Amino acid sequence: MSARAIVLGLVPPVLGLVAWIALGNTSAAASPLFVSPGQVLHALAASAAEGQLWAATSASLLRYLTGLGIGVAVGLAAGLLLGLSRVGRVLLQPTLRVLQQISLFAWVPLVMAWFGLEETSKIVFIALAAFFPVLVNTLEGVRGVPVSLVEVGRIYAFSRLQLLWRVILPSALPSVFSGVFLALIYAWLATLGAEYLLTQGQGIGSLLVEGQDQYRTDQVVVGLLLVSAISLLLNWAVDRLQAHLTRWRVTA
Amino acid sequence: MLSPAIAPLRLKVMPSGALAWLVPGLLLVAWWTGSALGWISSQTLPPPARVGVTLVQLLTTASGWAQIGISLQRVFGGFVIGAGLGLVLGLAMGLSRVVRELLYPSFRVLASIPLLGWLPLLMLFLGIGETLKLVLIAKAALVPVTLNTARGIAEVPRSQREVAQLYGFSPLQLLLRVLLPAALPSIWAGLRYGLTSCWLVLVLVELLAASEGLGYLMSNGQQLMQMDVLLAAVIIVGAIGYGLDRLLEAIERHLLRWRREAFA
Repeated sequence: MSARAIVLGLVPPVLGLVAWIALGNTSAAASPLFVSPGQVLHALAASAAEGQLWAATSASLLRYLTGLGIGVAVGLAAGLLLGLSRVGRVLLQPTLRVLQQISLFAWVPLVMAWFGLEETSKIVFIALAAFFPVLVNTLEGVRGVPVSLVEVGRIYAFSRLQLLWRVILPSALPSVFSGVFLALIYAWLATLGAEYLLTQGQGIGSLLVEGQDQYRTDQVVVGLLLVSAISLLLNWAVDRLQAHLTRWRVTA
Repeated sequence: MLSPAIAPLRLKVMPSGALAWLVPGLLLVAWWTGSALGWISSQTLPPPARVGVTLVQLLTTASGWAQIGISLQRVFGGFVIGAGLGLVLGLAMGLSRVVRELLYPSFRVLASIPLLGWLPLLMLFLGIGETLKLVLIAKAALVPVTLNTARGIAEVPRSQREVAQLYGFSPLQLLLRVLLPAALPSIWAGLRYGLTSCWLVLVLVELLAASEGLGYLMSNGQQLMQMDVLLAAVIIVGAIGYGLDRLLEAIERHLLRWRREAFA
């Protein structure tokens, strides 16, 4: 990054902020929906002091991690079983491919109809969002294990478990990881979506919906900042993990 | 079910049609039997025949087509706006370093904030009308199209540009005859991914804020406990999503056949 690139990159956000502040001096500020940057900061400080911010964030993150954990575990197990068994793959893969085509959010009403309107539905939906990418990528990883590696394992008379643990899993790992990375992002989107559609309980999504219902723009912008911060952090973490992983592969 | 031999690639059999249909067929039989014997309550899962009838009704009546038509109209409207803007932005970023340095960082940050985060703010300012849906669907296409177009244009080999200069191509000729064809695979990948995202977003927006369309049919079916309508709508959404992707794949093969011939 040259100094010039940094300066140029900062132009749009600075311009945007200036425009926002300038709007405060026009007739637009008379609208009950208008909030100034100062008011947003004030709302941020207030809701942080009341503990509302932390309660919503921790509720969302707990939900996210629970759903993610379930989805990744089930996706990994199913992917391994399907990948290792030709019969299972031939039988089930077409069905799974069709299920995967159903737009993620189309599952929500179905999940609601089957699991009710409470926490269970949210967790099931988040798990579902994480499950598909892990399943698909695990399946591909296992299928892509070179025959030569498996044959070496056979020469060493590995048991099935050893073959799985020492040959197949390490070889399929990069593909599995890219599935997990996708799951990290999808599950986060699903968390927000679940909180919008199932408004009971606490969470960042509920905070946003509440702000929108009460026409409190400041609360909505605070929620948006929170969502942005977590999303950017998540993207950054995934990028770093991915870079780390490929480095390990290069040295291997 | 763990076979000792991991299916190596040479044993790869194409799933034959009959086998692939076995599991859905068995599921259907189980569903039909369970419904007929009253093991499955129709509140949880209505009999397959009823879902089938509802599906046929949706597909054969004018009112059913109206719902599907509205959803398709929204998707294409939003997609055209978003992809059009994305192509222009991506071209500008790909061609000019200044534009790239100016816009790319902000664009990346905005792109990684999920659409769902913007939704409440946009609802406040735009209401829940058609504008909101078009803006959200357009945004879903804008991001992948812009990024892929910019990358595709920027990665055109310098040698190709130099050849064009030798031939004294005008900037427009350079763009139309060198840069765009060379960047097409990347641009097309962006368009394909964009359309898929548009479809995903459409369902979400219609679930949250609509009084017509496929997503509305779903949320309405769920609220009124009309599970047959809900399931039929889910089937149509899945089918259209799958169909759109296959359509773009077919066009891609057609558009890029000249590339294949070069390596034949």
